[in-house]
Amino acid sequence: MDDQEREIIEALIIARLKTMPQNLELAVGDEGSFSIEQLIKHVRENDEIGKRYIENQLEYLRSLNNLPTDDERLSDYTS
Amino acid sequence: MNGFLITRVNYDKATRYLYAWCEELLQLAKKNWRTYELSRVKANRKNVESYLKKQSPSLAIFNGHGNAGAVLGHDNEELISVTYRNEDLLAGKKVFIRACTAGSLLGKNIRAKGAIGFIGYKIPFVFWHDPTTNLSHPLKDPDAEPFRKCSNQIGISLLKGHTVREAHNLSIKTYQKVIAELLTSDSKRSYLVPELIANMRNQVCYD
Repeated sequence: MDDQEREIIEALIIARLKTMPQNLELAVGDEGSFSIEQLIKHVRENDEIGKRYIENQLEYLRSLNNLPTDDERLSDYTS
Repeated sequence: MNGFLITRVNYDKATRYLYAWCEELLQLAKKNWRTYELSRVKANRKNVESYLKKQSPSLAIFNGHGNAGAVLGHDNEELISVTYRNEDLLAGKKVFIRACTAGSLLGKNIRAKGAIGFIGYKIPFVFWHDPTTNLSHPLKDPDAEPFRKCSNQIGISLLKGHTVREAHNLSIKTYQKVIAELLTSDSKRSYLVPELIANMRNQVCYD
């Protein structure tokens, strides 16, 4: 991923975060619970929390582009 | 009657939710299980090791924080860990660890040292919640509910006598159903889906 791609993705992820209810927090194990504002900061800083959050969002977005059947999905995770 | 060991702690936002989510499992276990519940300060290594040695439960479910090599109890004490090399205490048992990352190393060791099977997560278990209104009542938090439902399905299935593999598969099916409902219904909570997918994809089963 080059810098331009990263900037686009970062902007997309932050835009999605801003559409969420601002009272929510994301619990990430013993690393704590993060508010939307804190997540945006982590995404901008591209630290471990931010990178993991971005990866989860990208995984979701990729899945929308290639939705498998129920059977395919089950076999992906249960084998 | 088979024995069932459950640990749960309650000392921060995340563990407060996990603690509450265990109520469903404890209620279900009342019917057919001899339950050994180690909650809060009782969730320490001495008690866990003692119960596993003396009572020999056939099912063990741990709830709390964790890392690649350990599942933690009260005050972040390591309950089962590669450091203390006490994974063999789970030999012959079905094991579910609802804690971060323990599926990456500890779970493999637990299985290698004789557990019937292991279910856990290879990266941090994550969930959305609304602490502004629901911290005192985690079970009433609609944003956390899908995460409770999908992960609790493992414990429910194991308590109902399913194999470890079946429990894992039934949980995955629950994830798929919940995700589909969030994406296709009138639900306004489709924003929960990425983290549900993350938990589903990182849930591992060793049997």
